[in-house]
Amino acid sequence: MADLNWEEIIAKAKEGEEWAWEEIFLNYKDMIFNVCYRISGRREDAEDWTQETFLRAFSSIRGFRGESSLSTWLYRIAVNVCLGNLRRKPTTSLDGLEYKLGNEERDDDLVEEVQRVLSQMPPVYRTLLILRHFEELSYSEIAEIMNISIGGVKIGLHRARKKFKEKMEDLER
Amino acid sequence: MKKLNCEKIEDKLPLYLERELSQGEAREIEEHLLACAKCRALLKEWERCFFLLGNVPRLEAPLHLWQSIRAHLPRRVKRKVFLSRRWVLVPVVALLLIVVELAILHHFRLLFAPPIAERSTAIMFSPPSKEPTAPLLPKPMPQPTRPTPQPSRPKISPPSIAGSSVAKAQPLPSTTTPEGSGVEEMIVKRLQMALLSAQSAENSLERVFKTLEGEREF
Repeated sequence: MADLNWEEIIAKAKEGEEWAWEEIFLNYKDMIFNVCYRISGRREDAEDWTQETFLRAFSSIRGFRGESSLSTWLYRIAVNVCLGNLRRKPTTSLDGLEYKLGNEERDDDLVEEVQRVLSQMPPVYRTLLILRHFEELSYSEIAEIMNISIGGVKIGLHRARKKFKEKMEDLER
Repeated sequence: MKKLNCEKIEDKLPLYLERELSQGEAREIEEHLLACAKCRALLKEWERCFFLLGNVPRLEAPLHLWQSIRAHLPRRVKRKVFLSRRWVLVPVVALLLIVVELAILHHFRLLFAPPIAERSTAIMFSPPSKEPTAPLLPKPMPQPTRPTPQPSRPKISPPSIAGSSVAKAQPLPSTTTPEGSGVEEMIVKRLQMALLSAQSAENSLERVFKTLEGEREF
């Protein structure tokens, strides 16, 4: 698949071609898994939610009209899955944190602290910070994913950052 | 005045770091920062926050995830492939309907046509005749001349036998009535068979439609 024609892949996925679904999965699995992992704070939950995201995406791909990019559409499903699951299981992100490092060598304690602070924040603030700072999405993309206005994203992010900064300062004192 | 400026600038510092401000706003902040040590310190705090938020490592999704997702896919895939090829089903259903219709027509045609089996029964029940060309219709006339089995039946009184033509013609009903009842039975049997085949065809069609509906609902 050197020359990926995404329009064709999406069309085939709409027809139910399994290879097209697999292609979509292989291209977006890390992106979705990371979002789920950062929002949930648990590897187990992240795997389940990633799976749920892709299954939802595949079952509703015929409704994808290409008005937004496929990644934005998948992000939106992932965020809905994560926030929905957090609403059902609100303690998930607060208890039994399992944030772990990837393969890179980093300051483990610092990363753990960041994750701990994030997990103590309201899910919407956490999601805004993750989309903006981890996924490096634009305000308009975040607005589309979270189904809010760009102004709403700016206000939400401003509050989320302030809260994050305060909590980090409290931890470091 | 300077305090008010600091408050305004504090709120804008994250946007300044993200380069989300207009050129004029950015220049205003830069000018303020040159003159305000407090806001410069605040900017450093925000820079650290941004660094921490962006410094979290990215993970790779486990490889087995596709297998778990795939385990939930086959039915969906089959359904879509099935639906995309449902035109194959149309001639199958049509053929089935034609076969059922032909079977029913065949049964009814047999009912109203002189059946071969009846001809053979007619031959069987008709008396031994010298006219082999007329076996279809039993002839009542030769039967009274047929030797009666009276010698083997001594208890039957002669008047009852000899006096009535009905008694003499007893073989006649025996040839017509059993033949008639045979035809009736055959009609009933054929109707039952036609009914059964129609029912089985209906059942199989129902199954096909249920499968289709089930797949559509899914």
